[in-house]
Amino acid sequence: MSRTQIEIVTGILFLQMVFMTIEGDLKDLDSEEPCIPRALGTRVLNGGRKILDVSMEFLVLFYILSLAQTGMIILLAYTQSITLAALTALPAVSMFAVSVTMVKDGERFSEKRLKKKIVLYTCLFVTAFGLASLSYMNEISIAAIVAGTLAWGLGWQQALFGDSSYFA
Amino acid sequence: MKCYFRLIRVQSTPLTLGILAAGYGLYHGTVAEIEIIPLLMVGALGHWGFYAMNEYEDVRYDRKAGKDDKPLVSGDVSKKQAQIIVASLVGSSLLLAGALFPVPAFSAYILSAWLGAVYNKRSKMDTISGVYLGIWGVLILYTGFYYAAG
Repeated sequence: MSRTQIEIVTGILFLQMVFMTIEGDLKDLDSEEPCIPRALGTRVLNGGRKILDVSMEFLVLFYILSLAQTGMIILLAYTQSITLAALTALPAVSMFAVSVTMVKDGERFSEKRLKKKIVLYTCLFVTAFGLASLSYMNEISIAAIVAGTLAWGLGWQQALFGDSSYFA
Repeated sequence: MKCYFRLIRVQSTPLTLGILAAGYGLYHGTVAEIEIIPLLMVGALGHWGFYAMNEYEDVRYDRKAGKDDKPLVSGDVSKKQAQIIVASLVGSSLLLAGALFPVPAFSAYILSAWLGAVYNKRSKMDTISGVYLGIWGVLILYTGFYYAAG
């Protein structure tokens, strides 16, 4: 890896981590009173709270931030290399998996159905690429590990804290 | 038993492991190597310890926000137990890292541990606390990178 590529990954990771803390602050805004007045997320949202209701803000900003993270990875894939994009995707996908499982408010979609779909498609992805990685390129191995991490994270979350009948 | 898993937020372990693996993979071009296992073991112990520390430091804010499902707020885990868990996990991750990591990787990991503790202490007080976590992530990335470099 060149120094430029390492610097790009470092910069993107830094931004992803900051985004994640903002997402965490937004989740706390579900309570009646923001208990973290000095949090960056609270300050950012205070301007818009009078116009939009809290749940809508949370969902919209959550998905915008997640899409921004995904967009950076795609950009990296086209401008640098698929390997670098896959490596950068490792923490991003893990964070997205954690963020999805942190969403408590199911008003706008069936959270349970969403989780099941994500895990199902991810398991299929892991199976297909896991078999391919035995014979082919490292990028595919990394993609399989990424997807496996996602499936593991979601499944673990569901098994420990969610509806136990999910696995029935 | 579930309350202890909630305390250490076991479900979010892939976050730290993913960043460590990304750093490792940046150097080697792949993460499918057995040598990565000690790195991930240290990462898992550290992740659990520092997340437990985060729960401990945030308990008064969580109590105010009515988060009764949190193990320290509900009383499922006592403060004393949490202190022991934090000390055991953080201590063992640092000792293991000292024994197994090359000096540059250990230095990056120690710095990340310090910054993680700072974040846990200051996250509810400092607006720029997200920057602390951002730098923490970078240090964890370089821990994996320097570990792979040997």
